[in-house]
Amino acid sequence: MAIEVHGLSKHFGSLTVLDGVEFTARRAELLSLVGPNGAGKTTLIRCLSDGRERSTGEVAIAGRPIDHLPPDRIVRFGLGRKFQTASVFETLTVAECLRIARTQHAAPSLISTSTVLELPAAATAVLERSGLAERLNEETRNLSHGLKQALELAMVLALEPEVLLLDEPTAGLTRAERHGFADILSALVTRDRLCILLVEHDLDFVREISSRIIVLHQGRIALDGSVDEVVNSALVREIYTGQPAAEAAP
Amino acid sequence: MLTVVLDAVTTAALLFIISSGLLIVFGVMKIINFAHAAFLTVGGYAALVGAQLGLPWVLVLPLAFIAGGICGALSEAIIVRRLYQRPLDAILATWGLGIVIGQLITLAFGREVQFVQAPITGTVAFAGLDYSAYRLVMVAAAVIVAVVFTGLLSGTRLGLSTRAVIMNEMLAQGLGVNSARVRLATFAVGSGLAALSGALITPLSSVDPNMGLPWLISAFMLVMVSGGSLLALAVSCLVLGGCQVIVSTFVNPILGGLTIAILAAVVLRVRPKGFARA
Amino acid sequence: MAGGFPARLSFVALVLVAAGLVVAAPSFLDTYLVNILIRAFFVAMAAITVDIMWGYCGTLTFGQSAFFGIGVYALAIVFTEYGFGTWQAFAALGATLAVTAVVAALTGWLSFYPGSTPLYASIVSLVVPIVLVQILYSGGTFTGSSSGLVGFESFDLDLENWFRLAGLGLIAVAVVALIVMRSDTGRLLAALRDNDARCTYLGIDTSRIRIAVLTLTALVAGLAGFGYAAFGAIAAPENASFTFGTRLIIMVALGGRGTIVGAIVGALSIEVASAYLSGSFPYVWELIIGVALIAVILAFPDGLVGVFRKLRRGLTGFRAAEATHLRPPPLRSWPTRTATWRSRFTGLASISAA
Repeated sequence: MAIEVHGLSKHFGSLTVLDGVEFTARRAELLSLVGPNGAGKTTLIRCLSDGRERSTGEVAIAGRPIDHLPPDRIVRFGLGRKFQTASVFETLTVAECLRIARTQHAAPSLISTSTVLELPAAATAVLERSGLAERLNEETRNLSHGLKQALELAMVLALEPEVLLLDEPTAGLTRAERHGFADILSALVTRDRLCILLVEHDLDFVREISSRIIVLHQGRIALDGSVDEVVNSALVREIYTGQPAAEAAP
Repeated sequence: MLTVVLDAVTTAALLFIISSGLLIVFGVMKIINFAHAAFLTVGGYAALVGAQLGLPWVLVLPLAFIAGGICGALSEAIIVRRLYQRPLDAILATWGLGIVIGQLITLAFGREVQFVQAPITGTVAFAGLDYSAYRLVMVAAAVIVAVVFTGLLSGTRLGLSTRAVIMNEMLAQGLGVNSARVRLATFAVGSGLAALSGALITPLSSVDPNMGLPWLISAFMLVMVSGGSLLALAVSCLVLGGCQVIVSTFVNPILGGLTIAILAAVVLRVRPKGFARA
Repeated sequence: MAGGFPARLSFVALVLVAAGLVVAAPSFLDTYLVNILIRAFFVAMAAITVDIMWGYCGTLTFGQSAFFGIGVYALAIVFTEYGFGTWQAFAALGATLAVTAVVAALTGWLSFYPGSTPLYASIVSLVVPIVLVQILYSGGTFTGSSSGLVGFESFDLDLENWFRLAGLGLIAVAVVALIVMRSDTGRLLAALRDNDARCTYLGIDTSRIRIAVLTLTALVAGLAGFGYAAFGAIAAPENASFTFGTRLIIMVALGGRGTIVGAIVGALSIEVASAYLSGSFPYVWELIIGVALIAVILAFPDGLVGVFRKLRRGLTGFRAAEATHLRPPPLRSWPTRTATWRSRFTGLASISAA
């Protein structure tokens, strides 16, 4: 079991952002988390990756409970999290960013700089696909937004995670980039047997690659099922359009 | 015993007046103005000039406020405006500004310590003891400052814009609030308040080019602990100022001077939001 | 070291030239300047530690002066109380290292924890020297209170050899700092500065690293203070003060943060200029420093050395470095999930990049 969530709630004072969230996810599953803005999606991601965030409930990543551990400990269980905005190291080069990502596996030298970068196939694939493999010595602040996103993905994949949390990864990508991204994610699931939890707004993208969809609404899970179940659900239509199911067009 | 309580209350009042200017700037602009001590000194010297010119106190205080306000407005326009994205650099630049102002004052007035006569001298019989009348006036002044500012923030349009900018600047700008003007006004007011507090405290001690510095650290820590709310600042001033007086009186005056800084650092470590409501 | 053999060679050459200059200089310079420079060399060592904490790790620290002051007072107190001798010297050295390490660890624990902010760390670094100075003030004759300690017997070395000792010591500190900061570890520190959250989510314990860096730099600053007092035979509370701490930052800011060399340039320039100018125009000199600080923050954030480098390098986004080769990680022997992964790797050949 890659992700296990039981009774997860998050309160900010009297404001309840998440309430009684409960689900599990296995390896080789691509789970999409959808829902209107303010449903609590990013908060859920935070609660999964940082043991101190949630108010109540239990979370286990890669079979290990996260208790109240800080993110760096949870990452070492096998978790990778990609942020919504491209979060990389602006003054470092592409290669240096990737090397930092490999710190867990290869402690940095105190006196020299290494010229060899060991990366798992998934990360290398992203680098080649995006063209970053030719730009390893460029400073990241000179890269375009799309390339920074690709770099961040490569960095997270360099962790060799078992579980991958992606927060709106296709925001700002072109159609072609989105397509390439979908291929990468599918490969990660089928070839490398990752468990991917994806927060997305682009429902076409979600439909294309997910094996399962969870719909979050006002902090609760409204629906948790296969792509077909969710896409055809009247409840989901109601959540997104705001119109009660009975009034929605047949 | 009552003396200690009165000392604590008057010290808290003093700290509140001094820190409120820093708080307003921090709340709106999220930067710490390290020139605050220099503006306080400007106010002190404004009071000195006013007293030497024979002006009545009722004119000296507004004079100090305006002097500080003008300095603040100029500083914001020339320096601070460019540093909103770099808060740590803003600390350094305002520290440089503080040095510049301090040196200009030294060049103009000399380095010696000077004294200003209090407008109200002597003691007042209060609940069985004689307590310094001027110190009691501090408390009244603090209350006035708090009331005026709460009134300004909640009652005026500028205050409303300011609160909007504090809460969510981008949204406020999108709704047509001229956040540049709000920042300028805020910085000017904050500096004016610093100068006003400088003028107010001169009769209690003395005037010299570095008079602001000891207050800067305490004010800074109080602002951090209050997390941006005026009410929390008042509470912090009472609690921490009270502790300072207690330690100074019963343990060691030198340790007393450290109390605010150490307690505040510890409070922040334990509860990063300080005394502000979550 | 990045850049390959030619870069390594020129680095060694530069170091040797600098060392040569230090050894030869006392014969050419006048005594007053030699005196100033010796003090400046020790201050420059402290400035280098500020650059590491601020320029590389991103923590604006006003507190390195506290560690400098601990070194100063450890030596002064031991030599005042127990006189001068071999065991006293070692005791003072030991005290310097022990006390700075403890204070640094405590400061680090207070400043760096999951969820702390750079602003809070700055605050704590502000409070430490203030607390220390107050402790010194209340120490009576033990610490000399506000007058400090003076007149204790210290190492008997002639001026020229002090110059060589301090100068070579500075070069040694600079060389170690440059090597480490240019290594992969230095890149890691820069990553911490650029994006702490991202580092945390890459499994890096950023708090622990920061505390370690603080402790190591504190030890160096403490030793610099030890040397300073050993030479000058004076200890004053100003050596540990917040004002001195801000002075160090100004030196690094003006010289160029994040370059190590900048810290040295800034420290030496300001110490020498202060000595010569503050006698004749004390207030104007301070005024110039204030204006220069503002100007640097607003217009030249990279300081003197940074401006110089930009002119030299041009504004390309490329770093002169050796080609980076990609390759897949080695097969591991234990049967974990990684084994499953590895068996599916598509066997990429190494890719070299320009």
